Amino acid sequence: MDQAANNNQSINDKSEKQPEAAVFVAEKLKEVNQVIQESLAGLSQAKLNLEKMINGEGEVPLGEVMLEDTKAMHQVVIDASQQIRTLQNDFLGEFEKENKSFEEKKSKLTDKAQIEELEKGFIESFGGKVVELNNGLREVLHKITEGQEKMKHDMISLEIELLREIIKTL
Amino acid sequence: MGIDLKELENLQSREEVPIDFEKMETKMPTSVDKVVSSNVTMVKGTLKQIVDFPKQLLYRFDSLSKFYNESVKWIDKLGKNNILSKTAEGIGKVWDLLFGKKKP
Repeated sequence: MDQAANNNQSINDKSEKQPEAAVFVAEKLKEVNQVIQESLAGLSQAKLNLEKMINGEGEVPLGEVMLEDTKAMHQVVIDASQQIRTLQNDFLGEFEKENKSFEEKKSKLTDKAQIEELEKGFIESFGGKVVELNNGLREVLHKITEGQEKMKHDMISLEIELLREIIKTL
Repeated sequence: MGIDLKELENLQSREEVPIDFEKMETKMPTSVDKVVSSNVTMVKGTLKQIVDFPKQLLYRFDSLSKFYNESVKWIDKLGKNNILSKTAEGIGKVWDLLFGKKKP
């Protein structure tokens, strides 16, 4: 009886003294969420700027090639935002399920070693989900890079064309 | 060289530092928590790259626009002949710097 009481006391001490797996995971989850939100805000700003250029509100009217490229880039940015939102929702949904199951299992355990093992497994599983999220994001990055490369190439051609025009004027 | 009795005495009289087993047991499993933290950092890096691409592109286009506008203003303001004379003047200055004053 005394031993059991000691074990329970030890578990209670543990929850008071150090960050539990759930707390650690929640902190990391918050970090991931925050950076996703910031990225979405960045993409949203980029989308608005591209729209201005497409609508002819930029300082220089776009040539035909650049207009097509800018429209394509605009679509790439919209798709990227949508994909990031989907990845975020999937990630949060899966985490919620995992968290519920973890809390249920933990509430039934009293053995310290078993609880530690469960916590370790929970953190590992969360880490795995973060890796999956990163893999999804790498695909988004790949798509955005492809669009970017074409636009970069056309922009260099435009710069050369512009310099030629200036030289002709001289 | 023998045993330093004084040091031995010190060692014997030294109190043992109690090990806080409770504290040790309650530490997070470091390796796992480090791996997860590095995974999160990885995600941050990928997202940064995703956002940086359109930013760089717009920055470059903005520079190009500014350069174009400045060039147009410059041409309009000075006129073709003025630009030519200004260019000649510029070349003359470089010549002076390199070879000294030009002969009239």
